[in-house]
Amino acid sequence: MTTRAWTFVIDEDDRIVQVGDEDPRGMAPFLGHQVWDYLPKGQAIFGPHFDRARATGSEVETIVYYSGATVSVRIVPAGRSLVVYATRQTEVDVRTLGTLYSSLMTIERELAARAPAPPDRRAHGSRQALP
Amino acid sequence: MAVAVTEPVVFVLDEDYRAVEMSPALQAGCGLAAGDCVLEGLPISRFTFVRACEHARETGETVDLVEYGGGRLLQVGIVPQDDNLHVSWETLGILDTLTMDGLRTSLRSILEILARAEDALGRERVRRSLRLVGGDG
Repeated sequence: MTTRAWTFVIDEDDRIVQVGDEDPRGMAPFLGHQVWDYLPKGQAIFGPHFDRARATGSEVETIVYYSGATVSVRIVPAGRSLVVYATRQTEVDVRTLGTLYSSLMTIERELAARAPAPPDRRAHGSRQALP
Repeated sequence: MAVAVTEPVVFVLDEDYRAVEMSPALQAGCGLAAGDCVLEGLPISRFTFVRACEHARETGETVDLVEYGGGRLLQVGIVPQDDNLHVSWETLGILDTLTMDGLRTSLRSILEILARAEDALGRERVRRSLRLVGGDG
């Protein structure tokens, strides 16, 4: 298992407006670009969690599979932006069919164990929930 | 889905598994130079490859393998010629690890290709055995 963490901030249009100092995943060249340029095919995976954080104004934590690993994601709304903390967890081990199977079992367990989405406490009282 | 992508890799090995000749694809893909031992840079199981090479040398027969390794499904052909082995491999499929959907689809495709290849190789082995038994081989 390798653990690699990175942080970035996106604006309300999903543009990358800030990248963490360490930037271990080479995100800096994508500043000003849509985050989906950096995360191809990532909109269907990360997008719903970003949407939920924006809609609720609350922090969202989840684990997703993306780009060969499970990724633990924490999304913190900050004004009109979102601060995203991501950490790669278990990598798919493609060396042999045996290592592949074993790593996929671990990944499956991690994804199955992720906490269910918390109830949206603001929904009942928010204007968005009203007709 | 898993697709064939790259040009075939071809090389000639001496008795110590050193590459006597190699295609540009092997040099580019593995960073090997002529004279290097290829065993360290193999994408498939070293044990399987060496056993197949030994079989080819001992019997003088061509050995065909379809092996998964390093995220790729490879078709490997080993042809004994004089003291050397002419080895070729071609990528039949690549595991797409970007998304879970891609991973599922490409893995399913690779396993299907692998199963078909194993069937075909099994049938070929039976045919060869029958030819030997029948005295045609």
